[in-house]
Amino acid sequence: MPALRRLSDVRLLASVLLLLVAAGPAWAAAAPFAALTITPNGPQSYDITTGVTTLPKGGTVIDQDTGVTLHATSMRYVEGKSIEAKDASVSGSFGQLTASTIQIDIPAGTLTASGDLKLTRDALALQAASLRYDAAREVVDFGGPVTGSAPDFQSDRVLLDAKSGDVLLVGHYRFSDGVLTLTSPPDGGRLELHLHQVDGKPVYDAATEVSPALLARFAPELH
Amino acid sequence: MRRARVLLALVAFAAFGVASAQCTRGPTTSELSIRGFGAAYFQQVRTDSAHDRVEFYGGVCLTGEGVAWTVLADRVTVTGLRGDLSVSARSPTLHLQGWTLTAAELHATRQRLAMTTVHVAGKELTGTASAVAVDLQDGTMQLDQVMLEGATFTVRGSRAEFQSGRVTVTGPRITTCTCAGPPLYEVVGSSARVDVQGQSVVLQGGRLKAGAVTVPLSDTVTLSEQTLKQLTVPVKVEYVPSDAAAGVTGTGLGVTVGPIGLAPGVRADLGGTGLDPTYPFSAVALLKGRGPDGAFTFGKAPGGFRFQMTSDHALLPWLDAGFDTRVLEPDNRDGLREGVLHARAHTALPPVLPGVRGNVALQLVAAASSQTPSRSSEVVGPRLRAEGSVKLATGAAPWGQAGLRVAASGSLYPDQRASQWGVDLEPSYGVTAGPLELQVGYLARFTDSGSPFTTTLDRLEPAQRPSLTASVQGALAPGWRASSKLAVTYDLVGSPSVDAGLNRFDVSGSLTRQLGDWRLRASAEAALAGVLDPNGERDGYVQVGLDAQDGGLEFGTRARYTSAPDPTGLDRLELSAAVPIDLPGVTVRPYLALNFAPTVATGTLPAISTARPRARPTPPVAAAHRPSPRRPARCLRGPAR
Repeated sequence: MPALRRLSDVRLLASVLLLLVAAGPAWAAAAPFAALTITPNGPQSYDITTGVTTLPKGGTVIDQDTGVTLHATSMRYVEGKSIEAKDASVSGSFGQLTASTIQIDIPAGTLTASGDLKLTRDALALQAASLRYDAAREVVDFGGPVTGSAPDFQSDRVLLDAKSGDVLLVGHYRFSDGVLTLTSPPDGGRLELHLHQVDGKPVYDAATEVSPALLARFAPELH
Repeated sequence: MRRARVLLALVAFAAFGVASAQCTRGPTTSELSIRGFGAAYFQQVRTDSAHDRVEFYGGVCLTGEGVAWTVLADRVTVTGLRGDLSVSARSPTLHLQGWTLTAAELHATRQRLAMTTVHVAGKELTGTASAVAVDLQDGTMQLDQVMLEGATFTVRGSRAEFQSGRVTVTGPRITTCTCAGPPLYEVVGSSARVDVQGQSVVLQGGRLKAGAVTVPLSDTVTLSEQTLKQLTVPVKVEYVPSDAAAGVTGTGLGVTVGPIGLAPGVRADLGGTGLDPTYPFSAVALLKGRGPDGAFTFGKAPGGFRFQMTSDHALLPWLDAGFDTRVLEPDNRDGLREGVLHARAHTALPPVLPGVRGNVALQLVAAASSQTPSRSSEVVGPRLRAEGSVKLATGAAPWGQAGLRVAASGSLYPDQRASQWGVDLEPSYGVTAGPLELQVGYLARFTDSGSPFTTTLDRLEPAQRPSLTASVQGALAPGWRASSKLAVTYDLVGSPSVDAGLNRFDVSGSLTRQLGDWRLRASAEAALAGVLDPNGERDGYVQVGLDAQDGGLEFGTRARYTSAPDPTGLDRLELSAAVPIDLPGVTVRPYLALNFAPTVATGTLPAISTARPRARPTPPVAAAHRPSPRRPARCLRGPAR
């Protein structure tokens, strides 16, 4: 068994090296999920007919470029194509994420999650029905209903700039900040939550008039 | 102007109706609730945690959590969300309990809302204030340096409190003048309670201020729309030309303001006559007072200085006593000056016949009098007079009412060693039958005419004078009314001032038609005594006229043909008009009549006429009550609405 495990590790390492060689230009551009290190928690099986490697006891995936680290209780991956994890937690620039299901589309450089999805990061904690993370642009698109506990809000949809931490509530929303409770127009709208430091603490300020820079950041998601 | 203000108020309320639609979530309107304060509806919002501030803009509506209030503004800033909440806005509009307040700035806390440079608009009142403070717990508003205008009045005050539809003003100044400059007069007080719905003001510690004159009013004065209208200072413009035939000394063009109510029972007339170059100028400054026990007049009248004071006191239920002091100008009662003490006892008589009532009176007079008749020397001296009278009258009955007066008097004039006695018998009878009223009477006076004074004071003249008055008036048809009157007196015996013969024979009639707001009236009157006796001194003329009136507007034409005492022929061919002119705080109604009779007769320019032609004064029945021969003059009195 140790010999087999070593063999698998060697094969996995070889695959990664091959992937790195094949994706030379992309590597040069620091493509997300292009430098993954997968460490299984237990046995893994490889289906030579489908190319799917299964880690029934889960494992850890680390993207060396983006720093995204994935822990899962079970995992399946296809070399150079995708990773699918169950009961997973992911940490990255977007924060700490837990979800029932997480998928990484390696060529697209995206991470999607759904099922009991929770995300926490500085001054932000929320639950959502789904998530799509564009690793290259570092933009997170949460599908609703999205409920935030810090700050207190609800929204049909939420966009997160993982770099700045700014948030955009889209559609019908309700935002509460202590003594304030802000409700969107009946037809929905957009509310910018701008993250900044006040007395050394990260806080969100709200604005219905969204800054052009943030709109530009989220342009692909909003069109 | 007032209509314009009412229109503005309506526009403000219409705007409120539009604005209130903004105070709900709309397709593009977000809502934000502020715990313990209210809610905001807005287009845009921006929070600033670093400064604990929220800024709403792009059209904002704030609504209160407790009392129903609404603030509209283009931009509203809220600070102190986690501490002492403060709301501020520029050019806000506040709607609170039926009032709309627009201001330069607004600052509010959870308990209080303050505004500066405020314009107030309600259904009944509009106005301004330097500042407004609203208690957001109970909705009470306090306005500083406030000015409020109602439909009929303006109230200014150092402070006003609005609560439950009632406005209490501290340091109130009330006037009916809404003019831009200082009002002609104001009623001021310590406080005033304005009933907005009832348009009335209850004033405490009221004082009337007209220029430098300040006169206290009653402790509590209720000023309603009607009383405020009555408070309007009337302006009287008259033109009294000389008329030698009528014995009238003209005073020319005169303008007086009054009566000005200075206090209960006290009033003043101020102005002047002779404002035209034809007549000498004479100031008018008369102070008049009347109370339950007397009256006084003091001041300068066109004819000269005048002082009259009368005081009567009921010493017993059947006994009155008092004194009179009179100093009159030369034109009035032959320049009478006197002081009089008098006592009068009176009591009802027991029924002498079924249905006949009566009373008896005895009067004693002691006076020191002076007169300067124009054609004789001054008469000065004391006079003592006693007069007893009995009056009997039946009650009103279908057949009419009959009466009888019997009086006897005796006078002594020690300085002149003279005396006078007189006896009057005066039966009368009157009856009313439908539209007809008939009154007949007879005066029999027996006297020796021994008084050294004139008939304007106490000289009696013998008379045997039957009289008849008959009048008919009523509606002929819907919108049509007619009236006619006949008055006849005949002197069976002559006297120094009245010739024997037909003394008065006046006939008049009119037909009135109401057409909408216009009243058309055709009239005719004739003084036939002078026509029937052209050699006497009685009036003799025939006059016809036609006039139309619509509230303040009046147009008319009349023609008069005079045959006696001077056969002048057509002496009046007149066109007249009166048009109201609204001035700040007062409406004057100048009247102008042009007499074209001189133009027709001699080709001269038309003459200005200011007096309606009337029969000249009838010689007095009771000399002591002879009316002033002054010719009536047209008045411009404002407001005439």
